[in-house]
Amino acid sequence: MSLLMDVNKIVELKKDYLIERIDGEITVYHPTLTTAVYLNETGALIWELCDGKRTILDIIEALSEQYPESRTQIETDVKTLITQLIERDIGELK
Amino acid sequence: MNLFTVAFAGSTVTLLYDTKDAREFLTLLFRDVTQQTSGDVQQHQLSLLADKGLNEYRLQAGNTQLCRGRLGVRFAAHIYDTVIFHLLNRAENGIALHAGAVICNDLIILLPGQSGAGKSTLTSWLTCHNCSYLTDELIFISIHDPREIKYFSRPLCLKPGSMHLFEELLASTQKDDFLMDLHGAVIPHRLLNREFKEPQAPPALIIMPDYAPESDPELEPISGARLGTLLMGCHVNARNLVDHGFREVLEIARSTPAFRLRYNSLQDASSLLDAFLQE
Repeated sequence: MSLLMDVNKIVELKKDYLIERIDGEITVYHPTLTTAVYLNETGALIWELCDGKRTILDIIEALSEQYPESRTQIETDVKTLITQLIERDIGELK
Repeated sequence: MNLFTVAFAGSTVTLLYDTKDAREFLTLLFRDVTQQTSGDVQQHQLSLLADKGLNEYRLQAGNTQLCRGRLGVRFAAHIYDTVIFHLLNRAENGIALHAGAVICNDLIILLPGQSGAGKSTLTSWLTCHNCSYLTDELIFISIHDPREIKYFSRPLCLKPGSMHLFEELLASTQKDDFLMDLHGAVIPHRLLNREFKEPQAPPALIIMPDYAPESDPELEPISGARLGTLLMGCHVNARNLVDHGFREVLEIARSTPAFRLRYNSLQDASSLLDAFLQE
């Protein structure tokens, strides 16, 4: 999946995953899929904003408010992570 | 018919055999993995039977032939795969991880990695260079006490590409004491670890080997979350455990310092580790 995604879509995370937080980072594991995903600090921030109500654009805006000088990087990071979650079947766009 | 029992991680697998050669072969493969404890659960029974006319053996489960061949390196690999599978198939009292393990400078170092990651080769190299061998394949961490670890101390199993590491040793050793053919070598670690004793201390360090022939060598710290992700990929008996042992694996990742060792040659790997362990 390319990074050209509809930013007005909502990221919905699949149910039944497990997460552990260590020092601001996250490991996500889905037992049925036996898939593990590592989220660094940035990824962990993005993950926390994927609440099933926020669109991709909402997430980008929320992080850009905190880090206005990094909007371009934020946009790339958000889309990259969401792509990864979809490819690992942990999330989908609605 | 005689019985040979392999015991590991609270499970046993028994092999029926019918020749002296079979007994010697099984002893070579499993000498340090036969110590049973009360409470061990008999998981499976196999047979190692001679086809005398053909000078071959059959590994069987009941009447089903699993593999057939001469008592060589390739056949040994099949036996290991089958026995380990049955030992762990219902193991639920611990976390089984694909990992090598050595003792260097009195520190136990785990070298986790999936098949093909280079852990066996790196384990072998370190064993030749002032480290003591524990396993090149498998560890089992008690779910009740993560400091309690069992090491599947089988012989070093070398692919043909790694045999040069032991050229000198093999040249000076009785041919009956190890196994070698076109497919590699099976070398009893006691030829190197004369004073072998299973350690009681927990591991001090985790090193994730990353063989990268095009890259510069590097030893970089890995965060707990990243390590946890990598260890879940090495977790062998996940489906037997509540939540696949995820919490327990992450607790190990949280509490054990870890590094990624990127190397393009074994000499580089050894130099980096030597320098690091001296600090």
